[in-house]
Amino acid sequence: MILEIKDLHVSASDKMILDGLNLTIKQGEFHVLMGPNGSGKTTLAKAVMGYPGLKITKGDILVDGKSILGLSTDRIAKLGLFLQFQAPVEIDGVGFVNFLKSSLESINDKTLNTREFMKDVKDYSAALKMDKGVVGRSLNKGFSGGEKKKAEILQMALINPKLAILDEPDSGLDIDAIKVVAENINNIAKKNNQSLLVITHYNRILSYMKPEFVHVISHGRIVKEGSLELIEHLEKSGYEEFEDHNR
Amino acid sequence: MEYAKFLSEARENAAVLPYEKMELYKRYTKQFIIETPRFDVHENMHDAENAANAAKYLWQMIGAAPDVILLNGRLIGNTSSIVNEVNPASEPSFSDRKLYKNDEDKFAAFANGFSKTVLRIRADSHRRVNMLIYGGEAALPAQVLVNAEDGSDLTLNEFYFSEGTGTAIIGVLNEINTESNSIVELNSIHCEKAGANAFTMIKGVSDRGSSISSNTIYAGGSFIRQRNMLDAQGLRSKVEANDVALGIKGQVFDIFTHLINSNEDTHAQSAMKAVLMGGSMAYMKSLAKIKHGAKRSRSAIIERGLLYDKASHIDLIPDMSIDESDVKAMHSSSSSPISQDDLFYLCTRGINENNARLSIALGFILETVARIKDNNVKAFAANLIRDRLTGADFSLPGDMNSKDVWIADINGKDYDAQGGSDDDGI
Repeated sequence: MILEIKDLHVSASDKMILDGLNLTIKQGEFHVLMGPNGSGKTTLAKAVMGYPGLKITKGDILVDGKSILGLSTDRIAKLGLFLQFQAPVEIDGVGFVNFLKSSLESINDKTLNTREFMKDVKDYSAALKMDKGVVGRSLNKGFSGGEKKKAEILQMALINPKLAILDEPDSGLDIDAIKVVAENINNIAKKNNQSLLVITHYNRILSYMKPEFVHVISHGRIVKEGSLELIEHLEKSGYEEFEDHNR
Repeated sequence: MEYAKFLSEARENAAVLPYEKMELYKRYTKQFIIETPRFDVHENMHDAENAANAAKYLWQMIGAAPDVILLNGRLIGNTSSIVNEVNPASEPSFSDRKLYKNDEDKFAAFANGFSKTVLRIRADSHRRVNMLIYGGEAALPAQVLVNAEDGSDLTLNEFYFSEGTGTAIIGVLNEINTESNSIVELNSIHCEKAGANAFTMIKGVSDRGSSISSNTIYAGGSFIRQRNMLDAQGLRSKVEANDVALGIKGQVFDIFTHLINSNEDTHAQSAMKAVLMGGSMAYMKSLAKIKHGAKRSRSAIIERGLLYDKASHIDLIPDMSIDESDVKAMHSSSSSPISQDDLFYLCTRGINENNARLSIALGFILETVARIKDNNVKAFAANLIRDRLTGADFSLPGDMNSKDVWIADINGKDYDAQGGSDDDGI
């Protein structure tokens, strides 16, 4: 899969958030998107997945050369795109396991063998060192911050997308959990040759990962691109140099 | 009159009485002209056949034939040894029950005035009664008086059906009295076809260490008025009312639960949930009263509404009247449309919007359904709700092949000959 974002302009409530953003991610590539608060990172992730509260005023998003603008979110997911949410919603009464099964059956358009499905859930939950009780609860209901992030990565592992956008997979995690989550993301992506776009503020999680491409976003556009050295540079100097004080 | 007593009574009445006269409530009122129905079931063969279909349908769905069948307010089938028809006037509480003491008793007074059938259920051990309540276009109210004896455990499942349109009316007054350390679970499932009107009331008093739990699922009908009045009267007793209203198209629900903590260490809870669409409306009020002296008691009101569209409307009204300081009391009410963020989340996992809405609404409601202990009834209620949410109006299957069997039954032959179940099936 190739994801191409071309000159993307996105607004919400008449406020321009993405202002001509360009980004291309090819199959198996590992990209990192960094930037200060309010720079448009999460908006980009949601815009790719077709969030209805956003208005795309200009530009295009292409998957394998075809525009996905106007596609419903579930259709975009079925193309192989996955979004790990920064703050996953809690939904009362929707059982986590039932939800996972519905999701997989919907994406794969076939009924799953329950025994095999449960074995996968058990194996991936163990790899993520998830509390056994979590999978028996309602969707994200009463999960701690760390459990929510692990539950998102569990979904990524089961759904097996072609491209995963991970929105702050490290926030809310303690030091040990960051390592567990990072290792699992590495393993899942490597095993399935998945493309990754990791959105983060900090380089904590990246010390366990090996991104190939680093992009810095500021005021809704990519202002700097590079490799691992750029992360080290940002760690020392921050985002100040990318701020356009004339805006 | 002492000022304190006057104040207490005034406050209590203020909480209960005026709401029916409020502007807010006017939209929930409906006038009926009730004609004296004909009592001979042979004159109402269409209803009788439909009730027979309902009995067979229920048998298939919950794995047991109904033990008791009420048709248009009359008892026409009873295989249970713990259910007996009694003379209303011979009941010790008759004089008291027919008194029109306040607005809450309006229905009780109506039921006492017009009902021809009064059933007495005496539970002496672990018992279950499945009751089919069928209402045609000319039905009388019925009364079900439950006595749970010391240490007994009764599950009473009431299934409301009606195939009529327009003027079908069903009315049932459930009066539950528990002796010490007994348990009563009343599960009421409303499957009436659109057009039916149901008026039901549950009056329950729990004695020392006993509990009354009422779970009511409204998945049918066009107008439903329910009054629950549950009093945790004995030491360490418990009362609980869980009501779920599912309005698909223009339905009106008027549900009021009055909880009373009358003694020490008592628990009372009212949980109301509504999913409304297609211009449906729900008025859901809970009033929790904690009486003076009910120390260390707990009372909770939880009211939730989920609106599918702008045409639907809900009024959630929590009300508490607390006359004791050493208690824990809480109330919460919220209503909202389905969250766009919740939908988006499910859709990012490949679930289409319609199914995402269905999942959210089902999850919202099934939490309450899960409280029903009887697994077959629980599954029946869950399937009923799922069908209704996917747009299917409830209707009995037309090919139940029960006509001949039924006619034999209403001619006085043994209902059990059809394969009816025992009354103590747990």
